[in-house]
Amino acid sequence: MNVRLKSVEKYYGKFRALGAINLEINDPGIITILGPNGAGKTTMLKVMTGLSKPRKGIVEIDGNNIFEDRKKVLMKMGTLVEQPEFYTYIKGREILSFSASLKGISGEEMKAEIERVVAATGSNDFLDKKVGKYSRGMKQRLGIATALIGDPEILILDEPTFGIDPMGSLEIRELIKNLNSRKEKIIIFTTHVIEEAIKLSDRIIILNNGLIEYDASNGGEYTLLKISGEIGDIPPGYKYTRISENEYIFEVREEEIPEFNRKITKAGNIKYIEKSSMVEETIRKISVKNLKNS
Amino acid sequence: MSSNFFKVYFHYLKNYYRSRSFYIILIITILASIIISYLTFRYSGKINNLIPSKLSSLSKVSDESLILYLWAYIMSSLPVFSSVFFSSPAISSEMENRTAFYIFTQPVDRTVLILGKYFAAVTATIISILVYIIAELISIEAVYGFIEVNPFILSLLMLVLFIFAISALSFLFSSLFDKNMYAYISTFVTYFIIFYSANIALYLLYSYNAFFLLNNASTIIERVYININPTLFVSNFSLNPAGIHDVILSGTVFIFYTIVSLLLTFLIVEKKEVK
Repeated sequence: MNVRLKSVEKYYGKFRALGAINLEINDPGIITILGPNGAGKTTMLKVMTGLSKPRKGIVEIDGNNIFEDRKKVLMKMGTLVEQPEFYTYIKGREILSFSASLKGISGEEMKAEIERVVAATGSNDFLDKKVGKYSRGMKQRLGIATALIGDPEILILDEPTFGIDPMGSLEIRELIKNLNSRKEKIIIFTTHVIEEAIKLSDRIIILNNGLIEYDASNGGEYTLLKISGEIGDIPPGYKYTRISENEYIFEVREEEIPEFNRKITKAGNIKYIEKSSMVEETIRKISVKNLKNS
Repeated sequence: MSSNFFKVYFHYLKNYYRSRSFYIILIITILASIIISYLTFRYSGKINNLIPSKLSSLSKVSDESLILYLWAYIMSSLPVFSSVFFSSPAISSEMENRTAFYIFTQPVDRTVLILGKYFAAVTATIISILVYIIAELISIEAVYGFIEVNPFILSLLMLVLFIFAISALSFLFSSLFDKNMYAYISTFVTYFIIFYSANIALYLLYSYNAFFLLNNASTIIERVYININPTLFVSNFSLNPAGIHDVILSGTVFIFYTIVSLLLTFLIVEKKEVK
């Protein structure tokens, strides 16, 4: 199970939505795509789900090109792209049955599957009403429920907590966490809430102006440690930037910080350590850059 | 493929027959049925008295044939309105209402989706016109005691083929746009302005009967009773029913429109971007 984007470029007229994106997702887990509005998050998901064809590049899901084997790929995928809309005169339960039947689920198995996704998304109360009477939040829950039908190997969720009240958002986050508990699925979701991304993700990708600005590869998020002082021998194996004669910024994985602290204290006379999240730092830089360019 | 086709077909049919559009077209059909039924009952045996003196040759035609011609004349226009309601927004509404994000990410070929929705739209159109056909049968049976089966069946067969053709053409227009309004306008303008003006212009300028235009071909629905083409200013019309050659020609035109429009729709939708 993997997702691969090779040199994917997408333009809307002259506007570059995605610029030569290379991305490989080989391991299960939660992969969050973060970025400001217009960064290309939703476009990336549209390309992954075959809704939008790139000008250049290849999109492969499990070795299959989405635009050549669309049906085969979508069989393994659950998607929620943009704010979901459904046919006004159809009931929520009928939509779930329809999605289940297209995934080859029928009879008692279908009933059980619908009950499972309904319980997971808390959509039981409104499922027998026609969609035309649904609120934004109800449609969002139904959208997540349809994505979960068939227990897909790959889940693509575009801002899944959008339009849902704070309690509901918490439930959805818990649901995503639970879906990831056995680390069997690739769950790709977009958000613009940094805390949500940091709390949930195994890997964070930050997009800006259609380009990947940051990709914390599998294995945890990097923390930036600003060190001030005289350092003799720099401990090997750490990426760093020297910002002035006595100031350095190290990129260290969260779980390696105690070990790093031990090594760096041994290496010199450390006066000051400032800690910040790499994701927060990148987002801050992007915001400043975008503000300057606007 | 066939099992997915039926799943899609029933899913869309449900959405069609529960929709407000379905009931609006049903009311229009019922109103038309009431008016023509009233005419049938009120003027049975006196219909020839209503014909203007310039059209006195029509008085040679049987009362029943004239009434059946009138029923069929109205019937041939009903599918145009139904298809505007059901088929014109078929694909554009998926874009405008953003349901495309859901439906195009389901594991089903887009061709199957379109075909399922197309047959659902055709079914909804036939169901809505069924009221009119039943009213016609009841009125003719009540007034004349019998109905000539052959022209009646032929007229219905042509009606069904016309529904397939006009729905396919509406699907084609719908696939070109992302806004319902453009799809509605295109269908109406093409059928009522472009087809009609081309038909009349070709006839008046070159005495050419543009049999290949859908509006012209649709007149076969009433011409199986009396061979008068209401879309042309023809003085030398025949009071006999249209011949089998005309029926085959019109049937071929309907089939041609259906196949070509659907194939083009499949191609366009297959490449369609969901923005």
